[in-house]
Amino acid sequence: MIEFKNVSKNFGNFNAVSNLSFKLNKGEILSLIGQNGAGKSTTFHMLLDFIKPTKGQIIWNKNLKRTIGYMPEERGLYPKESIKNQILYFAALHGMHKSKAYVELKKWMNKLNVVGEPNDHIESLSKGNAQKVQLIACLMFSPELLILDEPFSGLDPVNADLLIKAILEAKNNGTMIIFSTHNMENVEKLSDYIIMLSHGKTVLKGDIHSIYKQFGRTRLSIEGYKNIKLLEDFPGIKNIDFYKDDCANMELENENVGKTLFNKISEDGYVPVFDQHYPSLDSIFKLKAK
Amino acid sequence: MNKINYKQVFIIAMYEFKNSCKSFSYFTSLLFPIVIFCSFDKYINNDFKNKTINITKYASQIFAISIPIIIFAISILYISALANLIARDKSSKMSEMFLSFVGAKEQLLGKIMGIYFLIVIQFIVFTLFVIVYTFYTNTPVVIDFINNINLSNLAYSIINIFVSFLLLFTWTAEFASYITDSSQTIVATIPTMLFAAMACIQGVFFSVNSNWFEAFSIYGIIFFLAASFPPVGTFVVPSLILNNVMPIWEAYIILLIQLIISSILFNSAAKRYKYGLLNHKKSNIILKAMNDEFKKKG
Repeated sequence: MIEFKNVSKNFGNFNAVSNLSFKLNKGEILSLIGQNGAGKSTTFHMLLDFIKPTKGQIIWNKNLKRTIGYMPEERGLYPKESIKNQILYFAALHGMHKSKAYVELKKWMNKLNVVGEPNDHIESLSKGNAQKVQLIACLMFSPELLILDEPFSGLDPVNADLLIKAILEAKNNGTMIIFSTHNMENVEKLSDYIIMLSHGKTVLKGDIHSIYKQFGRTRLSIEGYKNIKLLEDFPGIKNIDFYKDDCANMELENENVGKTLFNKISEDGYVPVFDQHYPSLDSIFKLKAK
Repeated sequence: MNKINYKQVFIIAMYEFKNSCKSFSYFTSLLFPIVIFCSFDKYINNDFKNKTINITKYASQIFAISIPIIIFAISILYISALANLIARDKSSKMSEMFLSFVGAKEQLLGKIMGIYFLIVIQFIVFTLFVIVYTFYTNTPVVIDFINNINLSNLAYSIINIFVSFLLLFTWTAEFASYITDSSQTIVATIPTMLFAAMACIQGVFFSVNSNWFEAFSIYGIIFFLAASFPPVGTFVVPSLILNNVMPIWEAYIILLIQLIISSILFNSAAKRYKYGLLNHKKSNIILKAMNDEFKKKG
């Protein structure tokens, strides 16, 4: 278990992170979201002990060995080195035996579908494959904590799916995972908890369902309904967006508006699509980032 | 204070050593002096070879002069090699990832040890060459020269060279950690090179003229204090002991104090090194390293 207790970090007068608190247990995934400069990397740096918090405490469970796999936003490996030499060097620094490390390397190369052989030089790999090799360097020694800074950037959808599988496998093996991304779809797929930072402050926190519940089913999509005037004048509807001839997306002031609207438009006959749903994480992100 | 993980230090040292061994520049630095020496050998005066020149009289003085010059010459070769290793880490953008599982102290010490291994190999190769050369060409002058060097002074001088490099290399690494692209590598070596050049000149001067020194005078005490600060003493003290004006025990005390101060400075340098590795902003790397930004920001 790792716990952040009211952790703050100031650089001079600038508050990079303010009063951040969270707890992460074995096998849980936390996603840290926020705009560029929100304080995500500073949080990672404090976790990695690169910098000390100005205030607050970072508590590690005493039983943990504090083995951390870290993939920073700035990716890089020795370009002139072969995949094998590079990974075996890292494995040795982690205390892994050479032969075991080589078996693990082959296993992970296969699993992540790395195009290339262990003796290929890093500089001969594509950006995506080099990124996968770096991920292997983080995963192969089964770390207790995995920190991934923008792991999906530069990956195509097929490779992003492979990465998601690898992350979920690590989670099932009990690894604590913290990652940051701007891809909200992947946040939704992976996260047990979400923390959104804005200018260092926590503006959103909780598990995905509780976050959705905070906003309620305040998004509505209607298809096959042509009475535009009624929708425009209906109380409690804001930000209505019409498309095609008979479709509209709108934001409701609260969930109950949807119920009264449904009763009203039902009077006009059959409406093929009436979908009242939670706002997407993307729109929650945009709303909170304002 | 965190304990140093010596296993990691050794792994890094061996990795850097093996990689540098393969490099063309190291190979050249090993063979070039030997080739030069062999080419001159053809023209060396037979009188010199046959010992008509009395080397005994000058053996200590020649050796005394050579110590600061050796330190300076090795500095030129290996300071830039070390700066290159750090520039490689920075330009390949892996220093941040690397820091997550290997501490700054381990990285710094590992790289310095790797360079030490290279220097040791170079010493061994040159020593073997001298032995082979002496027997093959039957040159008594070399044997005479070695016979006239006091072994305890020789041992001191070798230890002294390695103590000297601890701080010279640490400084270089500290500056090099602020490199943002590999074209700045040479800039990172300038402060250490300048210091080594000045100290070398002073060491040579002391070798030529060491009669002024009196261990138990006020100048002797001032000198003791100045030489205790590393790596000043490593350049000047060997000249004084080889000219028999400073007792060996005093030289060892100075060496010990230098080693203690070096290790204290190493610890604070490791913090700046770590901050430098995490810093990607372009700026004057010398000013940046000298400015204690780590304390302000970290």
